[in-house]
Amino acid sequence: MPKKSKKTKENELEGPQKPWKTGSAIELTKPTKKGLYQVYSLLDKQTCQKVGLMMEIPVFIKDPLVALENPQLGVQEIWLRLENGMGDGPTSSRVAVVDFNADTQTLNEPVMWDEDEFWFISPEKKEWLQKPPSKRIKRLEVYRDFIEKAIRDPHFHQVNVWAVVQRVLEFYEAPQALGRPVPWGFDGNRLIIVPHAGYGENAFYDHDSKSLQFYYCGDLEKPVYTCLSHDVIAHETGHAILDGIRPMYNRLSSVQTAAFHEFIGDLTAILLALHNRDIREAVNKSTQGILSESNLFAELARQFGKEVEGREYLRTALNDYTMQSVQNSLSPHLVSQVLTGAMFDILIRIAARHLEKNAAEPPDSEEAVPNEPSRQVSPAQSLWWAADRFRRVALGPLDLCPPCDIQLLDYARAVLRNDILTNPIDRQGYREIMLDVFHKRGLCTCGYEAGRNLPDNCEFEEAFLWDDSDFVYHDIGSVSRSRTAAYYFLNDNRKPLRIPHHQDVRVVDLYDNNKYGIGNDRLPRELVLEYAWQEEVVLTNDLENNLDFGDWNGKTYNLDCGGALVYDDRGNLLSWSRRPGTEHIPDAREQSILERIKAWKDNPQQADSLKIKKPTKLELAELHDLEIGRQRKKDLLNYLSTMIRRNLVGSALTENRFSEELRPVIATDTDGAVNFEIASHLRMNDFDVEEEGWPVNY
Amino acid sequence: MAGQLLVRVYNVGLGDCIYLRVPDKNRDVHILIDCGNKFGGTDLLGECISHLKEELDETETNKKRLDLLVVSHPHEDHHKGFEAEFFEDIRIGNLWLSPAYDRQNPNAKGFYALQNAARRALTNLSAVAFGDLKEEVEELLSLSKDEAIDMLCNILPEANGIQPRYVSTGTPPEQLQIFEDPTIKLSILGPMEDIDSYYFGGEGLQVTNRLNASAELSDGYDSILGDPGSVEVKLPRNISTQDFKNLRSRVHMNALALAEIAGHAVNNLSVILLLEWHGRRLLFPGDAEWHETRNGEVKKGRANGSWNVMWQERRADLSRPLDFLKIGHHGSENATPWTSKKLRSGKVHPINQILDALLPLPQPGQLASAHAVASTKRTSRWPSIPNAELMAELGRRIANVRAEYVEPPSRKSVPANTPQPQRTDLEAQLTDTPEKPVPYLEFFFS
Repeated sequence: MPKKSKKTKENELEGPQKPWKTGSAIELTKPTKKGLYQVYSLLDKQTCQKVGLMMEIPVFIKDPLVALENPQLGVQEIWLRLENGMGDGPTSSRVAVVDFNADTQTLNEPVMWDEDEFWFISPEKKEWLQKPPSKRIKRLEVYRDFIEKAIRDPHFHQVNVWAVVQRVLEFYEAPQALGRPVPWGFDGNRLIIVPHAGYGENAFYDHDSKSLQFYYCGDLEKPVYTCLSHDVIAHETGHAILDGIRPMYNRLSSVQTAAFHEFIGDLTAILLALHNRDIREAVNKSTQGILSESNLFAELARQFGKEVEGREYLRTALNDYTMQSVQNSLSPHLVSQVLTGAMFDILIRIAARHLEKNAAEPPDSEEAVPNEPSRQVSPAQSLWWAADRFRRVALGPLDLCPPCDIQLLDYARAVLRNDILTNPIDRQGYREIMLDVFHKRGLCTCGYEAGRNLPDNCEFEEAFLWDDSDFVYHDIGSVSRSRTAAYYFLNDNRKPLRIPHHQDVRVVDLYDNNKYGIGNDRLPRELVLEYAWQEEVVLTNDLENNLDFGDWNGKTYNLDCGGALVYDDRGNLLSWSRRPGTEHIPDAREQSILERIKAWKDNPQQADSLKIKKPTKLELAELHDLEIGRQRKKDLLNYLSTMIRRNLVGSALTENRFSEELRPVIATDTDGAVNFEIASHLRMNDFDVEEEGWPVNY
Repeated sequence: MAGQLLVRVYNVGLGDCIYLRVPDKNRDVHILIDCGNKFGGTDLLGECISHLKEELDETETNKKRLDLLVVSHPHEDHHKGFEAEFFEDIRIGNLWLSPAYDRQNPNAKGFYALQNAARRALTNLSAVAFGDLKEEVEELLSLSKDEAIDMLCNILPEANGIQPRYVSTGTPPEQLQIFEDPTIKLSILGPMEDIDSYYFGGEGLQVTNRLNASAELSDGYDSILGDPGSVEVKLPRNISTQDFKNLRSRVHMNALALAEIAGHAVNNLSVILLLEWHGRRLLFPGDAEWHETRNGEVKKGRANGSWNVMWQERRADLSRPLDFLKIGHHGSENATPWTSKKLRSGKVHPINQILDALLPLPQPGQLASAHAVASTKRTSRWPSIPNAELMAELGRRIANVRAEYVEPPSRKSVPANTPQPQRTDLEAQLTDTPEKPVPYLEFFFS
C-alpha cells in the first residue's frame, strides 16, 4: 500500500517526483486555513487559488482523440474547490467514484487521496498522479507520451471523470448561474460515478441507482472511454443536475419536456467549453471571434459521436431546425436542437454585437475612436465576455421555469424574463436579438419583426407584463421559512394561481438564491416556490380523433399541473411560470362566466341595465388558463397514443421491463392507474427511432 | 423437373431451413443451408429433415447423401435443428460453418471477447434476477444453443469423417469446389477473413502486440472483457453496502445492451453464399446486416455491417441482378440494404444502390423476373418482423409476388392488396386448407 498521511513525508513515494508545489502560494497555518475555509463563499476565485482553497486537476478538455490530434486541446488543469473530507475514489462531498465493472465483475482499486499533500496516488504503483507537461515543452513526443499514458491509466480516468462532474456542479452553483446549492434528484446527497461500467455505446444518468454510468466501446484494444470525453460527462451531469432542480421533468408528459433534458445536457457541454480558456483561444485563432462557422463549441462529443453515430458530430448547435420542422418528431434529441440552435444563435449574435460596438480599431484606422479607449476590446476579450454573459442568460432562467411539463416556449420566456430582471435597461438591444431568434425558430408564430413592438397575440408578451394585484400577500420571510408556511400562502391564493379547490397542492421545492448580475453586482435575493398537483386523465380510444391506447385503453394517467413563483426579498413577484390544468373552474362557474362575457359582448348596455356582473380580469385569466389546460390534456393524450402506436411503450407486466427489446418508456399498472416511466438512457437513441425500431437480433 | 435447379424453403416458423438441389455434370448436388427456428421445439425441424431425405440419393452405406451442409451463423433460428437423431442416417460430404463457430480464429479475438463478455454479463444478471426477468435472460442465454455448436463443430464432423471448414472470403477457391462442372460456382461473399478489423473495429494482432508492452487497461482484450472467474467482488469503501448492491443490480442491466451488440456481431458473421449456375445467380445472405453510415461506406476502426463491407470488397459480385434472393433476417429492416429514409438533401440513401443493383426496379412496361422469399413468422414478441415497408418495396422488384395475403391490420402489417414477396407464414392463405401451414415454398430454375 502506498504511504499515506504523515508516513508519506518520512518515506517518499516511489516513482516520479511530486508533480506540483505543495500547498498554497502563501504559507498558512492550519487555523488560518480553517478560518479562510469558513469564509470560502465570500472570497473571489483568485484569492481562493492563492491561499490554497482550490486545487488544479488535470482533465481532458475535449477527449483523447482531439488531444492526440491537437496538443493545444489536450489535457488541461482545471481549478476545483479543495474540500474538507476529500477521500479515495475520489470522493468529495457530493460525488463518489465507484469503479465497478459489471462485465468483469470487478471493483477497480480507487485512486487514493493524500490528505496532507492534497494529491492523488495510484494504489498499485504507489505513484503520484501525474500532471501534464508544461506547455513550454515543445517536444511533441513528451506530450503524446503523457496523453497515451493517461488514456491507459484507470486512475487518471477516475480523477478525470470526478473532476469534470465536480466542475459542472460548481459551475451551476456559482452566483453567475443558479447561485445556490444544487440538490440531486434522488434521495441522497452523493452522486455515484461509475467510470468503467462495462462495454457499450453508452453513458447515462440513472436516477434509481443515484449514478452516472460511463461505458466504453469500439476497438477493445484501444476503446473509446466515455469517461474521458468532457462533452459526454458534461452532458450527463447536466441530466443529473436538471433532475435535481426540476425532478418532475423526468415524468413522461411531452416530447418537449424530454427534449428540454437533452437541451440542458448539450447546453452544459457548450457552456463548459465556452468557459475553457484553451478552447476559447483555439476558437478565437480560427475565427477571430466570429462564431458563425462550425467550431469547437458546436462539436459536441466529437469522439463519441464519431464512434457511435458514424458521423463527425453527435449533435451540432449550428442548425436551422424550427418548431415547425420538428413538429411530428418524437425524438427528444432532434426537438432539443431547436432550442440548442436558438441559444447558440443568441450567443453568436450578442458576441458579434458586443464586438461590433466595442472592437479595437487598428491604430491607422480612420474610424478609430480615440476618445473611447476603455471601450475597445479584442476578439478574445469579446469571446470571454460572450461566454460569461451567455452563462447568465442561459442558466439564470432555470429557476424561473415551471416545475413540470416544460415546453421550449416556457424556457424561452424565462430567458427573456430573466434578462428583464438582470439587465432592465438593455442598452445594446440584446433582448431584441433574443426575441428575433426565438421567433425565427418558430417558438411563436405571431409575425413579430425585429425592431417593432410585439404583436398583441405574441406568446412572449407575458414575459413583459406583470400583474399580481389579485394575490393575497403574505410576509415573504415567513413564506420562505417552511414548506407548510408556503402552502398557507398557496392556499390563500388558489384562485389567482388557478389551483383547483379540491386538489391537495404540493410544495415541490422552496429555496432562495444569491446571484450576480451582469457586472458581477449582487442581485437581490430571490425566493423560489414551486408547487404542483395532478389531474386524472382517462385513456379512452377514440379512433375518429386518432387516439389508440392499445393495452392501456380505459386506464388512467395523470396530467401534471403547477407553477413556479419567484419573489424578491421585499415580497415583489418577479416571475410566475405555470402549466395550468382543467379543474380550477367548475363547469357551472365556467358556464356562468361565458354567459356574462357573451352578454357584455352582444349588448353592453343591456348587460349593464340587467346588472349582469362584468367578467373580471381574473375570471378572464382563469378562462384563458382553462383553455391552455384543455389543450395540454389533448396534447398529452395525443402524445401517449402516438408513443404507444409507434411501439415505444412497453408493459412492465407483459413484456418485462428488462426485455431484450427494451422500450424507452415502460408502463406499470396499479389498479387501473398507469404510470409511464422513461427508462434511463439505456439506449440513447431509442426515442430517435422515427420509424419502426429494430433493436432485435437473434 | 429433372435438370432444373431447385430451391426449397421450408416453413419452420421464424427460422431458416433451405434445401438446394443443383444439377451438376453427372449428378445432382444436394445442399442444405441452415436448420433452425426461434420458437417451439425441434419436432418440426425433424420433420423437415425427414422430408428432405426423400430427395437425397442413397450412398453405398445406405445412408442419404448430403453433399454440402452450410450453417450461416450460430443463432438458434439457424442451427437449432442439428440434433444427432435427425442426421444419423445422412452422410455429409462437406460442412461449411461461419467463422463465428471457430473459437481458435486468431482474427476473431475481439469478437470472441465480446461474445464471452455478453454471456458472462447475462449469466451474472441471471444470478440476481427473478421472475420474468430471469426467464428473459435465460432465453437470451440459450440463443446460441451450445449443444448445436458442439454438434456442428465436433459430433457431426466426427461421424462423417470430415473436418468442418470455417469459411470466409479468404477460403481458397479449391477448398470450395464441390461441383464437377467448372462453370458452376459457389462463392463466399462474406464474412471477410479479417473479422476483428471489418466487423469489430479492431486492427488485429499488430495492435495487441504493440500495446501489450503497456500495462493496465490496454494489455489486450481480456483486460477489457476478461473473465473474473471466482473473484469475489470487493466492497467499495466510499459508499454504503446498500447503495453498492443497488448500483450493481442496475449496472447489470447493461448486459442486455451488451447482448444486443454481440447479437449484431454474430449476424454480421453470417456466411453469404452466391450460387452461379448456368447464368443464374442466387444469393443466400444469412442474417448479414447493413449499417446506416453516411454514404454506406465502411469505416476503419468501427464495427461495420456485412453488406457495407461486401459492397466495398465484392462489388463486382453484387453489381449484376439476381435471379433469387433469400431475404435476410426474416424480412427485418436491418438485413436488406434498402431504406425509405431520405437524406437531408432529399436524396435516397446511398445504401439503396445495393438493392438497386441486385433487384433493379423493372423498366416501365417490363415485368420483374427475379424471385425472393421471406422465411418468416409474425409474432407479438417482435411485431415488426417482417418489415412492412421493405416487403412492399421488394414486391415492386420481383416476380413471385402475392397481393392476396391478408394480415390483421396494424401499423406493422403489410396493407391489404400490396404486392409482397412470398412468405412462408402466409402462403397457406392461398391454399384450399388455409388452416394448415404450407410445409415449404419451392422455386425452379432452368
